[in-house]
Amino acid sequence: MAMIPGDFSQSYERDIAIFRTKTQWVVMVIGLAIMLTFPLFMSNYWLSLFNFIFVTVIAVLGLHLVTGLCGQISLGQSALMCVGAYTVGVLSVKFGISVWACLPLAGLVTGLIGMIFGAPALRVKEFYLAMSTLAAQFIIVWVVSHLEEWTGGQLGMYVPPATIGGFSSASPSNLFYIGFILTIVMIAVAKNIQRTRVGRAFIAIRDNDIAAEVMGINLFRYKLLAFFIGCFFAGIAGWMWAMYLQNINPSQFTLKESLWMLGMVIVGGMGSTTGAVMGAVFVRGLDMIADYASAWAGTVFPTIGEQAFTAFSLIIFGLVIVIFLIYEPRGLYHRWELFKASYRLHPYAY
Amino acid sequence: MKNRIKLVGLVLVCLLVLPLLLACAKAPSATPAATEKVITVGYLNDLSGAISCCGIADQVGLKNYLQYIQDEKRIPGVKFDVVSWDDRYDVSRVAAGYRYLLDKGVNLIVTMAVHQSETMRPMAVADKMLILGYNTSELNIADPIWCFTQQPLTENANASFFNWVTQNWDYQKTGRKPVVAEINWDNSMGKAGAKGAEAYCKSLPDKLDWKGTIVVPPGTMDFSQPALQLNQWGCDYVFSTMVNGPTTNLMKEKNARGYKFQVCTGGWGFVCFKQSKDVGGKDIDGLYWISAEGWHTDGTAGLKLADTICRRYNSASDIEKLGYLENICYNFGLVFGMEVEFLVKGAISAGLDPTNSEVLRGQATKMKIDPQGLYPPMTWSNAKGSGVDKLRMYQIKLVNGVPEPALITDWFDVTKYKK
Amino acid sequence: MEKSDNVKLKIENISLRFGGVQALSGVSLDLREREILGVIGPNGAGKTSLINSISGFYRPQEGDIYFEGKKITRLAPDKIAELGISRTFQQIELYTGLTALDNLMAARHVRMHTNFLDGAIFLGRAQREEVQHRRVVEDIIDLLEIEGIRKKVVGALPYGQRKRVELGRALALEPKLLLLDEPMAGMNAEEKEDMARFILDVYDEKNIPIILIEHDMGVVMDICDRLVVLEFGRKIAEGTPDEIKMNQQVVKAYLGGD
Ligand SMILES: Nc1ncnc2c1ncn2[C@@H]1O[C@H](COP(=O)(O)OP(=O)(O)O)[C@@H](O)[C@H]1O
Ligand SMILES: [Mg+2]
Repeated sequence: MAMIPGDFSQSYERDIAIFRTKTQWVVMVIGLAIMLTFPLFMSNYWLSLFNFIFVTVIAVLGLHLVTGLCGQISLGQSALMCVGAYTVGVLSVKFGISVWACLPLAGLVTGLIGMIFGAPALRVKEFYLAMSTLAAQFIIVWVVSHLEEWTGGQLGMYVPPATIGGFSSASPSNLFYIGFILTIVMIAVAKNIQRTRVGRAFIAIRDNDIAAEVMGINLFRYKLLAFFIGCFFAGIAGWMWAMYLQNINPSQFTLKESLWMLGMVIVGGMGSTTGAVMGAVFVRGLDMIADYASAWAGTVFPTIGEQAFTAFSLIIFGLVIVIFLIYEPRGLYHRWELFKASYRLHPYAY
Repeated sequence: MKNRIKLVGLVLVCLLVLPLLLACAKAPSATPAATEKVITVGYLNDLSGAISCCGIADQVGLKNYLQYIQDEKRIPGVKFDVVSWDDRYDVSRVAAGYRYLLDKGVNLIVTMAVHQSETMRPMAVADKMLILGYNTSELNIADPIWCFTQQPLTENANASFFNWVTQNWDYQKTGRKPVVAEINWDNSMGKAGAKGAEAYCKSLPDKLDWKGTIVVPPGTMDFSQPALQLNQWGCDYVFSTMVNGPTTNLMKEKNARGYKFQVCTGGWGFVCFKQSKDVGGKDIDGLYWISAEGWHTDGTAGLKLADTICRRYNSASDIEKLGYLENICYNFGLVFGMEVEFLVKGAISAGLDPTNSEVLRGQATKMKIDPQGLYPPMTWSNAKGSGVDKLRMYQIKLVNGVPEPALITDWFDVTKYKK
Repeated sequence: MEKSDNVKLKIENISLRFGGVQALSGVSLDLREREILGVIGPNGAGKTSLINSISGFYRPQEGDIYFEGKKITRLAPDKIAELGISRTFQQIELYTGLTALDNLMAARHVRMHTNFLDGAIFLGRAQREEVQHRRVVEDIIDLLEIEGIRKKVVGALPYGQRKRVELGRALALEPKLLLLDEPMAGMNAEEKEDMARFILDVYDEKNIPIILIEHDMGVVMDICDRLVVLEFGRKIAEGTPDEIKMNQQVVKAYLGGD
């Protein structure tokens, strides 16, 4: 093989980097630095919304790896978050393990359990796989609510906050920092997996499992691995959820949430990490705007009443997503790329 | 084409940036007149989801009563403001809602269901924020108590029903024990109900023939199998620890098949008479219903007051359309208003600051209010924080097609059977 | 093994049935280390089935296949790929959502060694591996002259280019044996000429034997060292292009019909 010295290898490294230019780096660092100042001036309400978004982004990234990249539909992401949340709850309350140590454990336990429910993926695809992961949604929640000795059953359990010295995750601003770091790390992990060997194997399976197998990819191993990694993310999200609510209950982990997460992956654009993040932020953001819009409408039109607008905003919210799916089925990410391209090419197309 | 792309892109960016801009803008603070104190009441409940029929009426009742306090100058120098958060019956929205209300500077929070106060509890304890709820759980009333409720533990309602059964069953004539069972959705309310029923029934084996509980997945609406099972057991009485929708369906199923068992449910579940009637029609006739002592005692001053306040602050069409007068949740709202009145009055007469949630909590532990027959005189048991501990039982009768709860039993002290 | 050193792939008497259809019956053949072996025959003769059996995608009911002296008849397709047998498909089977470059990188899978943890961290092992394998892939891109479509998503590429990317992907696996199933089907004369040139370049540069299924007799006669003729799942002839041209049975069964 011809070895090309120096600058050539440099250029490949740059070519595969997430941020290929200095400007992109600078913009990102400034953006993140600005976000880090949020707790200094933002109210607890806004911080707790961000914390909720962090939970969602991490869980949706996991689903993105399983469904968006590897093409294995999963309707149980919310139940797997439940596993993560209860791993922290049980380990910290019943076994006195430090809440911090529970963070990786929540990921691991959830990953392993996710693998069990992902195992049917070897034999079944698409609709049938959706049905078997749907079973995960029900079985997990059922089991958690019936292991009363450990989980408190339907009555739920309180989870202690993560603390070091005087720092406690019970305060929304502290949790914001934890969630911020976790989210950045998890985004980087998802992106890195996607652009290296394992991620390409996932996409190969999604796009053409016959070719993938003939080109040397062990379908069973990689499908299971996709479930493990995706559910690891769900476990981390579950930990964050437990810190966010401090009170966990099986009824918090609904099929509706699982479906919404799938919706976020689709709205963001199947198969793109940035898209998954955008989808989660967009849907949660729209939710927030709906709250504000209805409160505002309630004060402007007091006779109609706030409730009418709240109900109405839900309809608009659903409508936006439907319109999206009809007019931009490739998702927000695709729209964003077109948008960037149209500015880059302006005024001369080359 | 390119312009359209840009336009859509710009709209998207704006949508994403908007929350940030909103976040930076400080919430406008109300500037009261120097002599006036403003008590901001936070209201967190479902206003557009599964139990919104209850949440909306409850909210209107609360707002109406607070307005009534102001208009009648019942507490001079105090104004009330209500800030609401719609949780859409979605637990994940409760935590954000709690923060939202705190940011709006609320002095206490009024809410309804167990899961709502349970979710807020750890934060409320940390922030020392008083929460008034409608019903409660054991987890909720563990020390330190910051959540005070109108209803006792769900367990107790079920026990009081079976107590009524033992008192009214004709053992001599039938020559046997009554056959009883319980049915619930598999959720925290259902669990608590089953626990209470089982503990009570098993403690009286010579009085009750306890068959057990039937647990169905949350969301179940088809009761053909469970009703068949209850009938095969030969049940005489069944307690349903479910909200109104499923209980109505159980009633329908039993009436359609001609099964003999009688159904009773709890006030916390079967509160939207109008909605239940719309859904269940005449099938809800004869349903038993447990609530706190004193509810709807005929022709009391309280009911008149409810009627007056409702007509004073709501248009006739709204009353008709939203059915406030037929919706007991409206009355819950009034009682929440009375509780707020009690707390604030108490704080002021003790020379304390009524905008301090800790002060209000101190008052709550001493709470003893007489809602003039609209609701039983309530005392807060400091140790349990479980609110009223006396229940009464009603039977729903359709009077001219309108469901009316008719009192059929005197109060029952649910604390008696407990050690 | 006592099998002759210069036999790369040995097929012994394989038979393959689908219900009542006999796709292959008792086919045997040897592939030498340095040759392009053409497989010809009318549609439905069992040519694709033969390749599918070699790559482990079909399981012959009888007979055995040896690769470099090792029996591969019961191995899973991914294990066979790991041994170094790579192929293209009659109907293009690319990873449609990936770029041409990533399609090739994906085929480096069996030659790469980082696990998902290395991938998650990226810096260090995974990055080094990416760069190193990118070089190999870039060489193939150069060889096949697809530099211009490197970063294009393959689903949107025209047919001829997709065929070329698929050849590139097969090469990226760094095969010791290359199986090509009608790589020139549906191409015009000029494209066919390019493809024939690429196949010869690959043969020269990579030093590997090739099994080529092709209908265009001109091309087959030109570039193949030896030919095998299938009909109704049976091998009816084997020999150099010149011998095959003389073979009366073949001319009657196949060439004559054309
Ligand atoms: N997966 C399969 N299932 C059933 N029959 C098959 C399958 N694959 C091939 N066949 C049959 O085997 C025979 C040989 O097919 P094939 O190998 O594709 O021929 P060729 O590639 O020479 O045109 C045909 O009769 C075909 O219908
Ligand atoms: Mg073929």
